[in-house]
Amino acid sequence: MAATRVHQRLAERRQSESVSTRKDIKVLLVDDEQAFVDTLAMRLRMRNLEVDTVYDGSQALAFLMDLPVEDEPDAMVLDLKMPDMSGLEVLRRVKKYYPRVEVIMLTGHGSDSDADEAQRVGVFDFLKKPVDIDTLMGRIREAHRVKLEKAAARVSGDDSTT
Amino acid sequence: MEQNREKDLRVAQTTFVGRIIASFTHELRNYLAIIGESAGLQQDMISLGGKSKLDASEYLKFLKDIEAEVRRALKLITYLNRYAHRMDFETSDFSVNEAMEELAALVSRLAYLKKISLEREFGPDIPIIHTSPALIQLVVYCLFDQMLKSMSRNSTITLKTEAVSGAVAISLTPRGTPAEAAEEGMCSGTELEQVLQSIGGTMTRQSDGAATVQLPFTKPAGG
Amino acid sequence: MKQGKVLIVDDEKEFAAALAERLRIRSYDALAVFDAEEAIQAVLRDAPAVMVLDVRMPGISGVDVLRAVKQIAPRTVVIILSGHGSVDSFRKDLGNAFFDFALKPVDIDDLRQKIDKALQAYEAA
Repeated sequence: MAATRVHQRLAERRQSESVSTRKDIKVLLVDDEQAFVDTLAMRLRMRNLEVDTVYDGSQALAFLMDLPVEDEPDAMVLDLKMPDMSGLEVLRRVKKYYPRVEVIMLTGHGSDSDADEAQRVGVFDFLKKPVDIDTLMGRIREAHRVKLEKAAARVSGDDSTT
Repeated sequence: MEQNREKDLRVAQTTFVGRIIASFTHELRNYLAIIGESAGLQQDMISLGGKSKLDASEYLKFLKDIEAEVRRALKLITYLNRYAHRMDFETSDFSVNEAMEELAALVSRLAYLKKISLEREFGPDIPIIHTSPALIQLVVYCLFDQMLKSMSRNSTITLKTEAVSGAVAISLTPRGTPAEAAEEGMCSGTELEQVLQSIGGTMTRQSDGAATVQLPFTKPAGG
Repeated sequence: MKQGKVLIVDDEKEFAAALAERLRIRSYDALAVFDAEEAIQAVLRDAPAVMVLDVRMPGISGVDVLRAVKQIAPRTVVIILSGHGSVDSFRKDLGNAFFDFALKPVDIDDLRQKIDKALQAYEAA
């Protein structure tokens, strides 16, 4: 499977690099509140993340579609309440079409039904806005670690069938 | 029957207040989030900046931006505060344009989320009237809510006030495509016409989907 | 033989092979492949004008093929197939990454018309 070969290359590349030369974690920020998300992006870049920002769900999906598979972000930080496509709708599509991308959802209110629905769909974590930068960095790093684990599991799983 | 009407009205009123508070707190939280991130960024620049440290004028610009967000938040808080005080007395002297501007500011986020734009056309020289401003805001909100739910994205709702012979006319006119599946409005059980009648006002609906509330000029208390 | 290669990508082998055959009978230069890897090889080798792609293929490789085609052969015009959904719902999901959509089970005449339009779009670009 071509997709598997890509995962393989990605996993091999990451495993062969020592921690200090590890490729920067890449995240995509999705939020319609531009001033907030642009500032957050600057702060994350100062912490050595590779950051892209888009301002609505459709743009987020178009962004993912236009990237080569190897360049897709490790994680997405996604606002729950947006006009047009809601955070949940974006989450559903990301989990369906780009499932390797881990999603961290930011929300201004703690509606339980939204949290439950997001868990069901496969959100990685749910954080409250305004978000503490160190907490967010911790969750992004964890999401990245989980993503690498899953990729490694896929690689070793497929060895037995090819 | 009278009791049911009273109950429906009270339910509509509390739902309305709840909606305003929910929308307002969400918007305020967004402003605080921006302010928080800006402040955090300043800290980052100073402690992590290294080669990318900014000069004084750039820092000043950032701090001015924070001030601007604080002002936006305060403006919204002022609207909410005035809105809350409208419920202090059952009736009072008030400016229709002010009450409508307040309402528009408080519901603008709701329209934004549905990608419907709210335009204002406030007539000049509208006299102060004496009635229940909270009730007027409720009725206009009910009409607005109905329109939000029956129009599709990219539509426009125009809120207009004008003085017509002996009365103030407040009208809401929707323009755009109707939604595929209209949802029920918040006040579907409440009989807005009767609510208005109880304070001497009338409501008419036009063929283009617009609705107009008319309130006769009444002498301001003590006038 | 009609101008322009048509590549069918679907893991349902019988369906894909039969579809390619029915298209060849109607003078289309059609070929069927059965998984993402073969699809990418075929695209690299032949640069087809049109790809008919099942997006329900196992895992997520349908969308991966779509992304790979955009990178490797952006001129290729893609028609997506699925057992559910509509052009509108897939526009929401995938934006303008595809040209048209056909619902499975496929109506051969409907698909043929769409392929013709796709071939025209390929020539016009």
